Order: sequence, then structure tokens, then C-alpha cells
Amino acid sequence: MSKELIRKAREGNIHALDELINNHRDLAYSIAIKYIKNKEDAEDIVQNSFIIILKSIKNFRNEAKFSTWLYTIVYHECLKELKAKNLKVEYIPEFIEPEIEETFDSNKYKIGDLLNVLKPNEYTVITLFYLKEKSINDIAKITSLSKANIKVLLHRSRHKMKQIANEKSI
Amino acid sequence: MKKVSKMKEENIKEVLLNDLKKVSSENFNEEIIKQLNLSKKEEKINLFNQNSIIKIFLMISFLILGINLNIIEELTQTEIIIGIFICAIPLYFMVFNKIYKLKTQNFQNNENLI
Repeated sequence: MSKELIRKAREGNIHALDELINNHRDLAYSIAIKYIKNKEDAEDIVQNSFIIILKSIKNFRNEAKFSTWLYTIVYHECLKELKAKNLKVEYIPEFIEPEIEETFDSNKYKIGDLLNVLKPNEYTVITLFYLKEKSINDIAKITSLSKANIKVLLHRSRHKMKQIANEKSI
Repeated sequence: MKKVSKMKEENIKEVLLNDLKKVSSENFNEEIIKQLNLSKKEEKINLFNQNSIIKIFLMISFLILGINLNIIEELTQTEIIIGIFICAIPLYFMVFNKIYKLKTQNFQNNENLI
């Protein structure tokens, strides 16, 4: 199905292009807004990323590879924008810190406010892992972070979510 | 230390899915598709194919070189200059291409302004 969609999009089928954009735009936008914190700028970044990737759609055979490249572009465009604004992305140590479990205060958070709970890197990693079912390898390619870093971020974000779930008893 | 409950993968997915932010622009997809079509049109603005021009250029050059070396024994200055001019014929097509491209782009820009 995804191969068929990419094939149709490569042929310039507008419905296929529309479907392809719809499949990925919300997550791409959610990631972008997590970094940029500005609706217009985030939309511009996602739109430009789609244009870049769709111009070279002939190089893709399936939607998985297409989306990996799309999120790679979105992620790096966000970092570029942050760099332009002289903002920094959080440093991730390459080991898992179990003490976070004790200090995290879940009372402050609501499930609907997950964007506020998770840091940009954590949000990017956990959404790609669970919503797009990307492997650690793929996420490492997208974010240019090491596999160990990805595992730390996944652990941290999962833990934060579990804390919230515990509070709100999902 | 707080007790952490077991949270299933489906729950995490559901929570993340519910938390996704929606793009506010109504014409988000249309703008992307529109820009893609525009770039396709721009690529088509060419009188002659660049690849065939290069092929013709190489063919003519080899032909002139062959004629010069095999048929004409002693080359005069005029013959060399004529040879160079003939070799450069495909380059004129490239110049025509460039002029045509600029002309059509100007025409499109004027139309957009109107």
C-alpha cells in the first residue's frame, strides 16, 4: 500500500501527494513546534521540508524511507533555526540516570500537556518510536544522535509518561 | 520514591496520538503541491535539451578534428579559426536557451504582478 502511494505520488498524482502529506504533516509539525515554539515558523519549516523531499521523491521506493528522510530534514531544519536564533538543544549524557525516577514531580503535569512535559529531543524520539514505529537505527539516522543517546531519551520520556499515567491512572 | 505503574505500549501511542498538534493553515497541502508544480514548469522552460547539445558539441569537435588531421595536411590560421567557430556552434544553442529562459521568466513575473 505504501509502495503504491509512493508510486502514484512519483507520477504526480495529486490525491496521492495529498494523502502522503496528510500521513506525516501533524507529527512533523508537532516536532517542529516543540523546538521552534512559533506556529508560523514551525509550519514554514514543515512546508519547506515537504517541498524538498517531494522534489526528490523519485529516489524513494517506500513510505518508510520517505518518512525517515522527511523527519531528518524537519529535525535538522529546526536545529538550523535554533542555531540562527542562538538557542541550544539539551545535552544528553550517554548513560541512563535512574535517579530521575525519584525527583520527577508528576503532580505538575496533565496527560493533555505532554508537549510541555517532554523535552524536544525526548518528544522527537518517543513519537518516532511509537507513532511511526521507527527503529533505534532509523531514529539515530534522523537525529544524528548515537544509539545510546536514543535509548536514554526513550527511557526518560517513557518514564515521564509512566509517571503521568500513574497519577491519572490510564 | 514514587511507585510507577505499568503502562502499555498502546496507552503511550494513544496518549501521543491525542497530543499531536494540528496544522492550522487550511491550504497547507495545496501550497506544497502548488510549489511542486511551479518548479516542474520551470524545469521545462528550455528550447533545446542540454544533453543533446553537449553530444552534438562532442560529435562536431571530433569531426572537425578528424577532417583537420586526415584530410588537410597543413592548416592555415583562417582554417583553424573557422574550425573553432564550427566547434562552438552548439554553444550558440546554449545561449539561445538562456535568452529564452530569461524571457519566459520575465513574462511569468509580469503576469504574476498583474
